[in-house]
Amino acid sequence: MVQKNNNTQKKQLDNSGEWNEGQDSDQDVISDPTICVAWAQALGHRYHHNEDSLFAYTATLQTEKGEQHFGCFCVADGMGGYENGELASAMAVEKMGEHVLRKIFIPMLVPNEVFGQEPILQVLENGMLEIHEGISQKIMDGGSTMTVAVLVGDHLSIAHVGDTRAYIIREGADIEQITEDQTLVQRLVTLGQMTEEEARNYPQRNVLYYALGRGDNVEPFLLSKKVTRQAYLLLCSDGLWEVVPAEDIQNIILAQREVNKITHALVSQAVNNGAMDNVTALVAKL
Amino acid sequence: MRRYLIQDVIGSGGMGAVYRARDMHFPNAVKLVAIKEMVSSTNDPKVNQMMIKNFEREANLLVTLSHPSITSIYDYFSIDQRAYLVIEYVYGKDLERILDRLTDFIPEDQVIKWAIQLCDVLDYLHSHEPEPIIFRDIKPSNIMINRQGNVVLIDFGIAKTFQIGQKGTIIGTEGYAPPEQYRGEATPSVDIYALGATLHHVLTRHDPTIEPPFTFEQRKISSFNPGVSRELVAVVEKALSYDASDRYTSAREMKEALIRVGHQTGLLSGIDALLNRTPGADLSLARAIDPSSDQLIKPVWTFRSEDEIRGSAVVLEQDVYIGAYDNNVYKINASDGRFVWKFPASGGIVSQPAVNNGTLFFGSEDGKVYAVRCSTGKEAWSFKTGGPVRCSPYLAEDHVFIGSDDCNLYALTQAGGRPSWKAETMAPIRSKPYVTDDRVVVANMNGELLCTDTAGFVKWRFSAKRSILCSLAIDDDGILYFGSLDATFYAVDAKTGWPMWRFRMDKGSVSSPVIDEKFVYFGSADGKVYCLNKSNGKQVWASTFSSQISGSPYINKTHLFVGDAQGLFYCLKKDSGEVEWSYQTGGPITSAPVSYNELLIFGSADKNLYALSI
Repeated sequence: MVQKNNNTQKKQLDNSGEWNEGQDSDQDVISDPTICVAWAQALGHRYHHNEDSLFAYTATLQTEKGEQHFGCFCVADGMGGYENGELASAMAVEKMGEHVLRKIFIPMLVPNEVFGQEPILQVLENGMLEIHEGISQKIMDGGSTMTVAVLVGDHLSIAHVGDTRAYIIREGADIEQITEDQTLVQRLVTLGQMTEEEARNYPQRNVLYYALGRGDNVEPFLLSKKVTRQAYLLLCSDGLWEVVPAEDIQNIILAQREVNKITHALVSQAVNNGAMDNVTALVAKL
Repeated sequence: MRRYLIQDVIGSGGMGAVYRARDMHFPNAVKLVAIKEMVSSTNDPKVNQMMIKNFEREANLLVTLSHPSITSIYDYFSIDQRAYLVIEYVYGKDLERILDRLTDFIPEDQVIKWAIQLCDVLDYLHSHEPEPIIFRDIKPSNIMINRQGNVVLIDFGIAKTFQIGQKGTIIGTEGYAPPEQYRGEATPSVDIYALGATLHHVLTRHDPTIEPPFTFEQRKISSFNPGVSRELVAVVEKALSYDASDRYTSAREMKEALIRVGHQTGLLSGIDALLNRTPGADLSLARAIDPSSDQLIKPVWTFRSEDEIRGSAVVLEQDVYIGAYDNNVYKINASDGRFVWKFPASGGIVSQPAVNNGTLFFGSEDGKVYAVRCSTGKEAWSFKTGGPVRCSPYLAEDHVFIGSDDCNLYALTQAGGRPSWKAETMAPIRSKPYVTDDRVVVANMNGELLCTDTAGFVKWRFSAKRSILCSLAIDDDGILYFGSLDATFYAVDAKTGWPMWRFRMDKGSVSSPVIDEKFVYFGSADGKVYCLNKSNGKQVWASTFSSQISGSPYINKTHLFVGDAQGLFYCLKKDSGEVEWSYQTGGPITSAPVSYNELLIFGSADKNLYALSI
């Protein structure tokens, strides 16, 4: 087994001198023959600090089974007074990144591994539960949402708590939101008791029923699905999706095509649309 | 204030406290009262005014009411920024405290009795003239159980009279409040939902306030407390319908349904005594439900072999082929059960035959794999392995892929039975393999799942902790599904061997899973039939039966059919797992039914092959 290409980038962005309210100010790109990933962030109009964090890691392994792709992507949106939101989201992505690499990626490097270890969704679920405990114990009043996506071969596994989101965007198909917000309004919409339009204007639209580090328990949303090549995976915080409609997200991605341009355009659009909250967009071309 | 001697604080909240006090107007008797205090801590005169008004409203409301489940009001007064309500003191405990301290479930007859009393008081409130009173906050902490064991509603703080078309404020308790209450609606139906949520909490001992909102449908009562009767579960589920129009139209209707549950479950006599009522009309309804309806189902035909039928049948055109432990494979007319021919092997047949190009392929306890002409029942070829063949064959790429107890997986040509290759594993193979154009996946009794290329070279291995005996199911995304005797159900990527998720059961499973749309269904030795969401392995529903589910399910558009180890064949609703009917055979059912037109055909260890009409 040969590790053909291995790119590591971990990014927990915090407030720095060049961060200005409402400006997109950081972007980066990882290139890979098959998986390209980029991200961009902005503070939004209300905040002077960044409570969003992210993590990205990709690799392509040449094995006897053929080429195998691996990717781990996280976006978290912290909450809490003082610096607690920043600390909580940073802790969430850092712990999840480490957990996934240790439990999923490292075993992939072992030749002739007999699989029988923890299934991917259980790894992600257990990671979320451990992080929930960790934030509860270590960061008073801190909390975070998080979406983590792990690509192994053709299958994308997602775990998610709160209202950060994952979307799949493909040429010739409608944008697909693959996470379901753990919010009161989303439940009301799912049950047909409220329209999407009503939900957008509902005063309690940001009420989460689960968040890492908050409340007695969390029950992560879990999903595994096959993904086609050339699809785009977008992970984003509510700073993006609250102000940029899904159709516009799709149009921006398919118009730009290059991941670094996409993330820049998405975040700029959010800021132009009056994003109050921190904005994070992480895009991987699979 | 000299009249009431405060003895204790019995509750406190953001707006004040509730005290236990003695009424000193009765110096020679101990008369206890509850005094509810409302303290206005804000400086905003408008808010103060609103709070005082609400408090007065509660007082005015209570004073007009008279019902055994509603506390009497004695007095109302205010001092400075504080207002007080003097209410009848209820000796007892609130239901929340009772639930917190319990280590076991509350008996069903007790729950039904309380539920009937709650419906009775809600019916009284909802029938109030000139306007119905909506309680709006039914939940365990607002329900007292007095010394006599009867319910008393407390805290009418947010109760309101209902005027059609008028929207109220969003008040209630998350977990107990129905979806429409978040839109400000307060109709009698709101209380019916909250009562349903309360009963769900009481029956399951799972607090809805810590669960995602409106997820009762996903948290079936039977999966927490299998002891609750189906009849009571149905009443609670109806009360918990998301759409108000699907709930009971009135508390009275729900009360009548609960009394019927008492009749149907035989719990009525106790309830009657407790309620001191004789609901005569309900007896006729109880009789209308025929408990012996199972016996009304008659097979369209049966066919009797000489020994147990353990494997599944296969249908081709108008005929059904079935192997039996009497060494024979039978060809039977699928419409009427008429015998056509039989082929004798030298050992019993316990697996499901496969058919292609007019030839039937199957293995036998005699260690052979047979190919038999469907038209004549004559042997085309046979191939001897080193052990009994209890594995069902998989036909692909002009080959028969079949495992043997000699631990080998064989690829035999369909035309002549010549082995193209064999792959050795470390344990007997009884699970039907799965083959694509570029790989073969097979499981063995060590719990090993092995993937080879089509030449037999190993590509990956996956290990469960104990035997895998069921057949593998695979979906369009290339995920394999199977259960193991290690009490775990797995989803594994067929391309890489990576486990995607696993699901824990209470015991092992030998039941071959069936995939239908987004779900995977299977039975287990823990006596349950499970429906899991195949994208994440989360349980959608589980139905519990009195013996292990040894058979494999069959699914049509709306129903699931499966047999158990006591010989009962069940028809369940596919979307809820609710049993529609059952049919008793004389021995364990260990196979899956197959369908022919409108018939379901399955074998039993009582030696019979049955054909039931769907």
